[in-house]
Amino acid sequence: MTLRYGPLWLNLVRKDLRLKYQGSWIGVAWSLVNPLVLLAVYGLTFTYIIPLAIPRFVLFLLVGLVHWNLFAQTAVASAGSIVDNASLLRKVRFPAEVLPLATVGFYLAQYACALVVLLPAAYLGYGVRPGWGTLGFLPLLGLQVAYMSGIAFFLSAATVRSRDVRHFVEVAVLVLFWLTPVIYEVRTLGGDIRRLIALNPLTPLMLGYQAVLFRGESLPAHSWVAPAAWAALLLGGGWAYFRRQRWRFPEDA
Amino acid sequence: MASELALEGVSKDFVLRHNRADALKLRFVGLFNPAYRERLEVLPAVRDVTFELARGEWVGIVGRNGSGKSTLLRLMAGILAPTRGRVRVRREARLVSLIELGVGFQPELTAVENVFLQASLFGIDSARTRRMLPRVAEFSELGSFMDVPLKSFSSGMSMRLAFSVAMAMDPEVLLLDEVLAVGDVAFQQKCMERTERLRQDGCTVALVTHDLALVERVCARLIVMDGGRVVHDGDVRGGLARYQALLSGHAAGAPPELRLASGSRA
Repeated sequence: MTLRYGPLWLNLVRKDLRLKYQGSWIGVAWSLVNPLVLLAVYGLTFTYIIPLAIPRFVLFLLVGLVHWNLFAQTAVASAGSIVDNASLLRKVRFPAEVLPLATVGFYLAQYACALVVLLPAAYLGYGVRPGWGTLGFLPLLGLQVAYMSGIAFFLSAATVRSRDVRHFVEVAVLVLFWLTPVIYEVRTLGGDIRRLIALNPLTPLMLGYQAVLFRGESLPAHSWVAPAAWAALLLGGGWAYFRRQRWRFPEDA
Repeated sequence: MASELALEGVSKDFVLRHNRADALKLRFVGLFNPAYRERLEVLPAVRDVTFELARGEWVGIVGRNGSGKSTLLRLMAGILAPTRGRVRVRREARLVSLIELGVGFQPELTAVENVFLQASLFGIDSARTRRMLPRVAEFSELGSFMDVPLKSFSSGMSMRLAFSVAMAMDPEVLLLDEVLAVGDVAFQQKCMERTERLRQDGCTVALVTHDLALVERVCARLIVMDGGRVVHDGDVRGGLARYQALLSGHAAGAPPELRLASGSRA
């Protein structure tokens, strides 16, 4: 049933990409601008103003930022994915889950554009020779997609119940950014704050990306346990909530 | 005869929230002023409806405003979930519902891109859509406009495109809300001819409309709705008489009670 709507998912992702970049001179290259500007700002700040003394800092930042951006942008945008398409849901029968999943797909596509350009550039700039092990980030990305899908299911359905969710997510993401090891390393932290950050489901993912893409290490088996468990929990919980709420969408969205 | 679509004791209740008080401020005001307090009202839009549509059957659905006919159609289409009862559609039946023409059309995208989007909304894959394209272009007479963004279309052109896409999907069960013919007289004529072919192909059609002449012309069966109930299900002539009686009774009777049974709150 849902497989039949694969083409719809693809068309929705394509539509959003086309609408976003059409009529613009540099088109998809805009998806590089956001991470580049953030890299420049954070890079300058934490090299010259508040030095963090992380070697190859721009590469470190890049690895964290592109994955953080993917997560944060998806979370914020997915909250509206049901409510903003209410007129469709009221007039055509199709599986509503396509909508939040299309939001995930849209940001995944932008992330891919940024990653394939910026990561090789950073490796080149620092003279790093990536090996096949670099591809070890793909299973981590898979888990992150599960995180995001679950959260998108939950937030899109919850926004139908209360429009406050949207505003809440926008604020929550600001806070979560500093509780996620994107621009700092966890091992330099001590005590309570480190325990707090360890509770963040994004932390094991970020540590994984940093190990694989920044330090070129491979991940030991035990470091997959936490992110896999979080992925199952978020995806399962989000989907269960979405399914319970979906009958409301054509009426309340 | 195998039924294409069957409703078994289907009811749909809408919950109306008078003075919807989501905001804390409104809730607070409501504590002191009852006029601002939220009240919930259960509105039975469709009540205990049972019928079957056989293959190739053309049924008209009429009723006064708010009698529940559009809600019924959306229940049949599977857009709304029934509060009670069951809606069954033959497995694998290509069901196309046109509650409104051009749902999901994107003005910034070209006609071709919109056809793909629209077809996939109905679960049609890209290969089949590609095969549909020549027929859509031909029927809609929009051949040289197919690569133009929809925003430069007139509303008539958009309607023609939407209708052509629906027809090119070769529906087996077609659910229509007031959209059987669109465009100018010549195009409407074409729509009616295409509709005749649907009949020959054995397509099953349910048509919600206020156009009684149209009902007489194309339908062999008429369902009359009133207050969410089916008050007539059978021959067209008898149904029309029943409907006329409802209309005149309504005109002569007490002021109409508030009925928002169609459920669209937009």
